[in-house]
Amino acid sequence: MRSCTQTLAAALLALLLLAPRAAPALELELPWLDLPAAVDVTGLHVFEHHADNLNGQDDDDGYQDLRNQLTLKLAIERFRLSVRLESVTFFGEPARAAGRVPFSDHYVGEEDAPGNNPTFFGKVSAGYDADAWRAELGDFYATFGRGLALRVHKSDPLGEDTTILGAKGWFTAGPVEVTALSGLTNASSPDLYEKTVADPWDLVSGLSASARIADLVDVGAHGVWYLFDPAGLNDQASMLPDHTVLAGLRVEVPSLLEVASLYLEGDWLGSLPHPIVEGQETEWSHGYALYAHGHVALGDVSLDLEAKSYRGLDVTTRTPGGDDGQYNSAQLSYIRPPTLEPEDMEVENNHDVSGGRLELSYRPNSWDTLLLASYTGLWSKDYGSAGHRYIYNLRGGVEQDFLGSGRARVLVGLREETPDYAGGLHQHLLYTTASVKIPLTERHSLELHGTHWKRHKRWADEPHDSIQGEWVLGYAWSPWLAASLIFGYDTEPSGETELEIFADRGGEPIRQAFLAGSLTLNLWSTAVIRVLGGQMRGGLKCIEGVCKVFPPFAGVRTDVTLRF
Amino acid sequence: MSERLLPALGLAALLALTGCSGAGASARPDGEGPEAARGAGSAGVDFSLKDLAGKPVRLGALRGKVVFVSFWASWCEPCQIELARLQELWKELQGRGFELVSVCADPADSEGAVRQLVHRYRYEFPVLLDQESRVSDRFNPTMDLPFGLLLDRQGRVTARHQGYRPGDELTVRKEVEELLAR
Repeated sequence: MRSCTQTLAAALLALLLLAPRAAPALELELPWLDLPAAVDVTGLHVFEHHADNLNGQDDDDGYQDLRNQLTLKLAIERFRLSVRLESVTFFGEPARAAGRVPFSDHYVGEEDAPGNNPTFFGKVSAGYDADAWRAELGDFYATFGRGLALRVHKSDPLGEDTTILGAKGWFTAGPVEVTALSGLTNASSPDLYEKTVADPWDLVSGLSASARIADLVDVGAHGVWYLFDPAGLNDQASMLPDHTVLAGLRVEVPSLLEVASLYLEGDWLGSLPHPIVEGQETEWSHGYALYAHGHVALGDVSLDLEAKSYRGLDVTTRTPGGDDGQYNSAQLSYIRPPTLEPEDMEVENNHDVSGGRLELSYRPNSWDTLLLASYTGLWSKDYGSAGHRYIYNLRGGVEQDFLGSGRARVLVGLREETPDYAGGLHQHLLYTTASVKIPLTERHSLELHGTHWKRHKRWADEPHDSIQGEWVLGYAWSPWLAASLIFGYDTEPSGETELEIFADRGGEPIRQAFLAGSLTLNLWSTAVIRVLGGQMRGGLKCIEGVCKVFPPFAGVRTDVTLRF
Repeated sequence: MSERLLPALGLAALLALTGCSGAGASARPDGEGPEAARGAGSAGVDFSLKDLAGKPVRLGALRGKVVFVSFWASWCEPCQIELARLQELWKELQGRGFELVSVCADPADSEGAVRQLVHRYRYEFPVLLDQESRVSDRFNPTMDLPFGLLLDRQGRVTARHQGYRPGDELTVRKEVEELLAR
């Protein structure tokens, strides 16, 4: 196995050296097949050296890892075959992972689990695209409607790449379209940091149908059935539902007089709790989701209106625990209902919440200026209490184009969370994002961009203030290279309110200021090489309502992307 | 399973290395006649996605033209700057047979943000929605954005562009003009 991987790596290196400047796709001449074929090869190779990240813990320091991802895509006429080969090799290991049993991935045996054996299949799929039908076997992504009933997708910022391993079919006849799918969830790298790749093996089956009426309105219906942990692998099964069913209707007018669009969706959710003891009688619980989105674009003005009401809209699973059953708490959600807030906001509850959003943008035709404003108001249930909280998020900004390809943008927002009961957590967040791109010559440019968050929390009259941010100063020489200096800061983990490079927490230094440099080389559009050295802040990272805590990074990271 | 599949994969890779040729240097006798316009005899890129009006658009219908396929997302600021520059190039060279097609990699729940951006920046080229990553994953499995594919008149990939730095549009222009002149 190792020799085969090394052969592939050597072949890729040879291709890189021999590739012409503008890397074309590779055309295959298959002697037994009188059909044209094309191969796309993408290699992603990441090496990280983890030094002491000064986060007050020493069990995540002093190790190196090498991750490789080789994707081969073969296309013969309308037939597609895709294979993603992955490897994870640890040189040394974080103390946090020591003594823990790595999980098995369902493409490999227990002894081949990532971390034990460097090579495994991450994703495999085959498909055929005809004009009126498509069929896929293997790994695929899936979405019904706007993601309220089903959305299994990749989220790069969170390091997640969940697919459904099974079969999916789509066909159309006149104005009618039907999609049917069924398979087991295949989660890649939800918790690579702890050397674990655990598949929850949940079974997802769904059917969606829609019809276009009068070439104007799409009317659709969908149903999804989730069976959690059918193989009985998860030792946290009592924390999961047993079955969940979602059924919904949707109506869409994608283009009305070319100036407006409208989308409406309603879903019902039924969930049967997992019996904690064998033979226990359990009862179905119910939830629902209502969502509406209207968009109007008139002349220089565009207006978006969204409204939602969700109750008990939760389709979240946990990845199976290991032998000690304690440490892996990676959660995966198979739905992604719209949050109505900027995507990086820390949205704690997107399951039991109602509210709306209004967004307005104005760009006079003769100007290079854009004005933006949005308001979101939400009424959200508080977990762990009978109370609720009112959330508002007000954001405004301006954008200006200049000197051809130059652009400056500033956005300022205010987010407030106020509980409707005494003693609850009150949060106040002032946030800013800004960027400016300055062309120096035709091929040279400077860029400054970043974010700054100023946060105030108060819980039972106990105040806590913190700041977080990251600013990047970059230089680019098109198309060859980009270099940047990255300065970050975060006072939240230390509990300090003042920004100093290090905070003292019981004698342990906690880094609060982070400095890193990076260089990106773009070679012949075939290879992109990035090197980053220094420190990067960690913390809670949220994308569209799904959040994950990342540790700070200190060390060197090199990643190489090869495309043929 | 992996033990059985790996040799097969190695064989496929060897085949790719020994039996393949760059599209730009292909010895195929494809001309620019009606057969070539349909993509016959070549492994041209083809896919079908819906646009913002909900109508299916098939890329293969643009055979015979030089096409730049730009992958972008609503949260990607460099994508927006690149698309503005590409739109200028497209308007200038459209009459000579150049087409710009954009594939939006946003998931379904942020379609509202996509519609805002399209109007805000007055995109006039086709905006195709790839909400299940069916096309993005095929051509850009690492999901780097912005990402672009330049296709010749037979629909074959002649160049890939990852990321955007001001001035990259000059490189694209040069490549497009070379293909238009063929």
